[in-house]
Amino acid sequence: MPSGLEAVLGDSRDDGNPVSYEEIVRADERGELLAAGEDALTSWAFNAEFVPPHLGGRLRAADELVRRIRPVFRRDIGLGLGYGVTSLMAAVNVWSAGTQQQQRRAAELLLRGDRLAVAYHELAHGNDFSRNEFEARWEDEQVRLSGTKELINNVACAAAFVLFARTEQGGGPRGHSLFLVENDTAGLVHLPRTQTSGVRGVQLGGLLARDCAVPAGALLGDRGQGVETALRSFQVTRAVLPGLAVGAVDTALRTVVRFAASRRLYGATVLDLPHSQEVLAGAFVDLLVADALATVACRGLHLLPEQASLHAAATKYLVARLLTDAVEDLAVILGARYYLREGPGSIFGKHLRDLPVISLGHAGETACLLAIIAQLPALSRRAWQEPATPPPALFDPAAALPELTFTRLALSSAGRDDVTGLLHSAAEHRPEADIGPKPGALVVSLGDHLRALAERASAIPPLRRGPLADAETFALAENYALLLGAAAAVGVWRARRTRGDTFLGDPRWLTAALARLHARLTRTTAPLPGGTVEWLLRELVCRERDGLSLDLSRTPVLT
Amino acid sequence: MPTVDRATVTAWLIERVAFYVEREPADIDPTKHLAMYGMDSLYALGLAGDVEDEYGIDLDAAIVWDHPTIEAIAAYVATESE
Repeated sequence: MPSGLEAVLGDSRDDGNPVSYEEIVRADERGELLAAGEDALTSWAFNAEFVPPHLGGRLRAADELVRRIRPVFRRDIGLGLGYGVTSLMAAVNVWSAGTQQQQRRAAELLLRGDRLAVAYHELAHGNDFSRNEFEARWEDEQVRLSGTKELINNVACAAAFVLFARTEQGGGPRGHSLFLVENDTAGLVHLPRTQTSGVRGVQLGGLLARDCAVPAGALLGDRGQGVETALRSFQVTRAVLPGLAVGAVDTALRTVVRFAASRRLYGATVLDLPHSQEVLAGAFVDLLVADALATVACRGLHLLPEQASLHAAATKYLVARLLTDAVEDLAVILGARYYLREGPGSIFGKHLRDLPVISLGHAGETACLLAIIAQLPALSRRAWQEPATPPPALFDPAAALPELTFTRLALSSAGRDDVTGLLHSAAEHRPEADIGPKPGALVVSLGDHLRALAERASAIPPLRRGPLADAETFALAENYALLLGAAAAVGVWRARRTRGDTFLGDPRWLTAALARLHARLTRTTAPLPGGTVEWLLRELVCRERDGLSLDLSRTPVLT
Repeated sequence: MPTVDRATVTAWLIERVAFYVEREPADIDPTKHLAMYGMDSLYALGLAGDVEDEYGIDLDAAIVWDHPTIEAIAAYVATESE
């Protein structure tokens, strides 16, 4: 039986349910968040998921958070972001750098159902936020704010917001600070809402301050610590958001499986057509890899916090890429139907429109790859040549985790990567016997690619190690993300085999996963390895029939 | 750990910064803000890694931000290695 939020949100295909797909799509058409959906989340005290236990909430392990709130993302990314995750993005800054008083205030607001906004973005500077211009200056016992913020989710309805403002004239990495500002501060003006092509119910707006006074106690963390706190906090959201996006693609894939099973063309069902089978199986495997990587990144925040800057950036990049590609491939099976904004397939179209916001939001693809590029030379000197033994708990959601300690999240991994080297250790001991001949050969080849990456990364010209990186250097960062994804898949497969999981412990999904990552790495396309398509499809059809999620957790769903 | 001499670190850092910004070491003034040479906040990650490799001391990029000139970093490294 479905439990938790899944049960609260109920059967999405039941038109009598106020939180049905039909109602979700209608609200999206109106440009609103579904009110019944917001009520359901309120009844479950959704915001408590973002508040640590010592402040009265339920926030514990990052991967557990993802699994607990994934039900809303299976239904509506806009609702998940608009109602809640924006508050998480703001709150992590407070948990990371706030005083006890600020933490208590943020917790109080969240637990009574209010929202927090995160006012970082200025259109003119995008992800290059160390050049932002919104200014805060000290005068007597007050701080005076001047400037404009744009594309801020919930800026009009939030009770308070975390503001990123320039506090030194020149800007730069020590030139900005964070503030926790109450939204009813006199003199703040809310700018008109910006319409978007996806997540149409999300309320993006702007903020204008003209010499607006806030108390000096609004400063969050030390003066000049803004960029640093942001870069630590983003590691958490860069790991969590991709895991949530997995939920939307779960529904997209399920919708297409249903369509393919019922639609007859050329004298058979679409599900019987080899091309459809290959696309469905491929999307299923990519979904599993995405979940494996997101799980590892989330658990890594607890287990390998010093390396999280690297792993979270790679995860944010690759998971978004895998999922958007999967949904685009699936659209081909739906044919013209993917384009319809009404009817049973319309939830697919909505997810297709909404999904890009996960890859754009607060750290675009380019920003994530740049965060990797800056670290590549040091990694090539210190990691990747030798086998690594990551902590087994990294891959096993059933294992206990230490508490998340924000101060241990470092700005760079300083050349350490205890995950990717798993490819070498997996290749070391007769992989053909341990893993099976096919995945064994793939693991050996992926290990060779990791060594080649190390060699090429050490030769990146100095000027290409920052924003002036060229296409070739970006390709190295992408390769790194693919190899990390492969290591995550190997790790999850091993952990599940140890636990006797008959599906995830079977080498066939791993073979398919590694083959697809390998094809991306070599910029080629290859059919899925023999025997894997039928086997994956059987599992996929069974899970759809039995109402089980299509991700790693195989949990009962009502979608 | 042998104590490192501040002047040696300074000379070594001048070489590194010149390498990153693709200029001659003679053009690098150790008293000037690194941002003046186009050393972006991202390059601090690379420089921090270089210092760790060369002198074996843990150096987070934030420390480079707090010591934004070659002289300041050299003083920090010399003190840390004592």
